[in-house]
Amino acid sequence: MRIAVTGDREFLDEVASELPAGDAVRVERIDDATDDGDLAFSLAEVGTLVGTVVNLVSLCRTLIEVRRRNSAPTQKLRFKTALGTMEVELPHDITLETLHSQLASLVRE
Amino acid sequence: MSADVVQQDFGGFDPRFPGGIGITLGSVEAYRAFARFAESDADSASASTGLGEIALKSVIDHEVRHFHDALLSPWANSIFRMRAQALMNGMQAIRVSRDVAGDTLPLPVGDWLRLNEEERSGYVREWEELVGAPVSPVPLPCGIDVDAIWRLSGSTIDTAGLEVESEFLAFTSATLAAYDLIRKLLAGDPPAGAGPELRPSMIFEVTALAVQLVGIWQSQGSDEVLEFLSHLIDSERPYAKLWTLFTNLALELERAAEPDASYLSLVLAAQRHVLRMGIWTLLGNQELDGMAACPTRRFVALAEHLLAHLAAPENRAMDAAEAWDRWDAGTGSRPWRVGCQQSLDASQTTLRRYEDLAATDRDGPALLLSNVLGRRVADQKAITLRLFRDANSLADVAAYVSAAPGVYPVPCLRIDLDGFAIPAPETDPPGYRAVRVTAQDGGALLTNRFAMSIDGVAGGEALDDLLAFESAMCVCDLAFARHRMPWQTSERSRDVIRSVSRKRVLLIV
Repeated sequence: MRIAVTGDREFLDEVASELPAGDAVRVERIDDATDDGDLAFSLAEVGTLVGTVVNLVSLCRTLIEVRRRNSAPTQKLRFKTALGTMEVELPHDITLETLHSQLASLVRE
Repeated sequence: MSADVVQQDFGGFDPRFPGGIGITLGSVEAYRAFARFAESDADSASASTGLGEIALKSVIDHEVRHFHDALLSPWANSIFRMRAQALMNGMQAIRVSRDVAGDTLPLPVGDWLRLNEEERSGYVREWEELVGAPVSPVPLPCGIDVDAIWRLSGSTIDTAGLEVESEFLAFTSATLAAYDLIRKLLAGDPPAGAGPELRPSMIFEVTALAVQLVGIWQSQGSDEVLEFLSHLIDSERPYAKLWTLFTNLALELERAAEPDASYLSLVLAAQRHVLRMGIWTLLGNQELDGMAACPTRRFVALAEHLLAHLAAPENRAMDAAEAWDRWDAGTGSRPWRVGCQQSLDASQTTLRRYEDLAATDRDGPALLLSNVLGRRVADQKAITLRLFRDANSLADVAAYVSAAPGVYPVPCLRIDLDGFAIPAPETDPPGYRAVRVTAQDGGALLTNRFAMSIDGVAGGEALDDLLAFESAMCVCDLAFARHRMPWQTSERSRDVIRSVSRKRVLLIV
């Protein structure tokens, strides 16, 4: 299943570098998520990680590990699959079960 | 103030909400602080705790400048007219799609058309696994005939007598023609190898930053302006890099006049030149001059001209119109007044076309378009005539920031509350609309997105039209292009497309 994850560029770079080797999650690229038509004033640099996920649990686990080390007070990520779009807030103590269940509607109809 | 007020995204000027600006507030504390700043100058002047709060207090100055520049700039007005065309044809394409073969609309349609058969088969296989059923996309050819689409740009489609598949393709092509021109205008024509800062949208950011900076200095103080300046100078964000380029050029002009001034006063004084240069670059007219009118190309031409003529008196003349006349001549550009007048005439012609269409089709999007465009053209006319009469009132940053309320067109304000909600009135008062409302268990209403007119001029009807336009534009953007939008809006737009088209809607990732 193809997936796009949009959020803080540094956070996504770290996620991409920590994803386990193998076929569970294949990262194709991380794009600059700036929209040419966007005149939104933001202090943050936003990126979009595009890839294919075979094992969603593996992606969730890496997101949680990186988030635990990340000091930003809030970290919001937007997930997009063929079935829809969803924004998820990642608190420092988010559990694997919570994140996985939040994303469930994006991986099955 | 609580550190929770600090946030990184502040909303912005969204061309899908053309008569207004949007502000995003990331916490209850930010909402309360914003409400206090909006109601009291004293709160604006109180010391800020950091960059986020400084930005929050000054974000309205920044966004209102976008609103005014989008009305002034022929480039931005061309984009808006293309958006109107996209909406007019896109809504009809979605409506017609219900009668064509296939059970699935792959979105955005523009991406689907660019895929070859093999790529399409790959997506269909993945989707069939996801939905657990066969997927049959609506019939659309592979590849886009770009030349044919360009020829459709700006045209009205007569679909009488067409088979439904051909009608769907005709409306889709006209919509994509509009989006293709929007894409070209947004990308601009920067020099080869230029970085992301040399995009037309970044020039709009530069003029807004010049206004924001002087606004911070006037209403918050020198510590706050220094903090904001540090962010701009240190940041690698494209808008900050282009602002630095503009400011360095402006400092060359300013230093020649004030060789002994301090750095801060020089930078602040230089914003006068930054705004004046920025506006001139936005006044090119693509319909008359093609990509030579691209704001980034005009910036490059202007920079070369100024560096070769640093001591020329018109570059520091008090009258902006006089400087622009000389810059037109010095860079071989069409006189700015001609471009602005043509842009106003083109908007009025477009408005008449939608008014004519609305007279015969009261249920289609033409009536909404003529209402929204009518108000926008009135604002464009007011600000264009002011520019002709007194360019300094819009180009002199100090005069602009301290102008009395009501001198320039006033935008509506839409506020998004990110992750929280506030009580909503049971019935909307005049000039206020709760856009997203949910009922609590006890029956009380909450909202996390509402819109209001700032000066009461744009009443409820204008707000309703703007919000309806924005909703329809988001539906078209999701269906045909890849413009960013809040995720809830994306999901709601998907529901609308599903309901109108009666097809399964799947997104191309």
